[in-house]
Amino acid sequence: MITVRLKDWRRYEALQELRAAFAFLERHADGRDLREGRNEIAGEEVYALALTAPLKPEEECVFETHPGHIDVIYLAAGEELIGYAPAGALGEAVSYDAAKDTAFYANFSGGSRVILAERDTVCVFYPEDGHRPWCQVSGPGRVRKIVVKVASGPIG
Amino acid sequence: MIALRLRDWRRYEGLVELQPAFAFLEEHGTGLADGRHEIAGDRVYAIVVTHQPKPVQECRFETHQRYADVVSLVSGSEMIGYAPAESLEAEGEYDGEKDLAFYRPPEFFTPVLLTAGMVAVFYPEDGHMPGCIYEREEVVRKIVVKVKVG
Repeated sequence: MITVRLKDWRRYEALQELRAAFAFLERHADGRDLREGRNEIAGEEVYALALTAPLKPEEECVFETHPGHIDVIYLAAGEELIGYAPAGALGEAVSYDAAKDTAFYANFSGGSRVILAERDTVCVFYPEDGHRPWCQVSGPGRVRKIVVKVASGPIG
Repeated sequence: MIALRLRDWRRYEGLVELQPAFAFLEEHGTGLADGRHEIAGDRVYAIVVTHQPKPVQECRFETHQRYADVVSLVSGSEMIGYAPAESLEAEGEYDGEKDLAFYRPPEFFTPVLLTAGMVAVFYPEDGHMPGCIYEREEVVRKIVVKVKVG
């Protein structure tokens, strides 16, 4: 898991698989020219989802992992709390949505709590990084989020 | 800032400056005495610490201009606060000899929870507040690998 301010992303530019995602976010930092839903970057290898949605109380949010993708998450508007814990700490997945490449974990509520600031923070979650998105920071709110999906897999 | 399990470090092997640190941690999980251990002169070295984490009110945010901290928990658990350095208000002057600056407590920060086997990497732009109690008071043994960065 990486947390970085968008303006500092070149600290991680040696991680080649992330470059297209960071460059895309830099070009579309205000999110205005993106349509809701899927936006193309490089076929199934790299694409972006623009999502506008309300946040939920933390206790209603669930941990998830994506065995075949890296999520590069950025907020064009709003602020959000995202939980993080290594997938190995989450126990067994209770379900897997193959269409969305998402495994869900019901029985874990600990972990780190990352605050994403508007038009500032980028979080990178690899397949081994459990994350719990869509949590409120302080009371009800909504976000416009850009998730760049990068095709990936097990390490090595 | 990076958080990971040590066993997963090759996900980040593209960050070549960190490779000696991860390799050292993989080789020396336990059995090192407290204090400084040489790896590559002043470019990369390790400090082994055994300590009792403190309540968060007694901990302070800090940054380093010349080194990245690669913090590995060998046993116990602790919370390390994270906030971008630019969002923090300095408290006192930067100490060039210790490569250390301190900051006032921020309103918001990200609590990074480290348990045995986990590693966190803090670059110069990453403010961090080490040594805080996580859930219960317990002695922590950790290895901090200092890596010189540009």
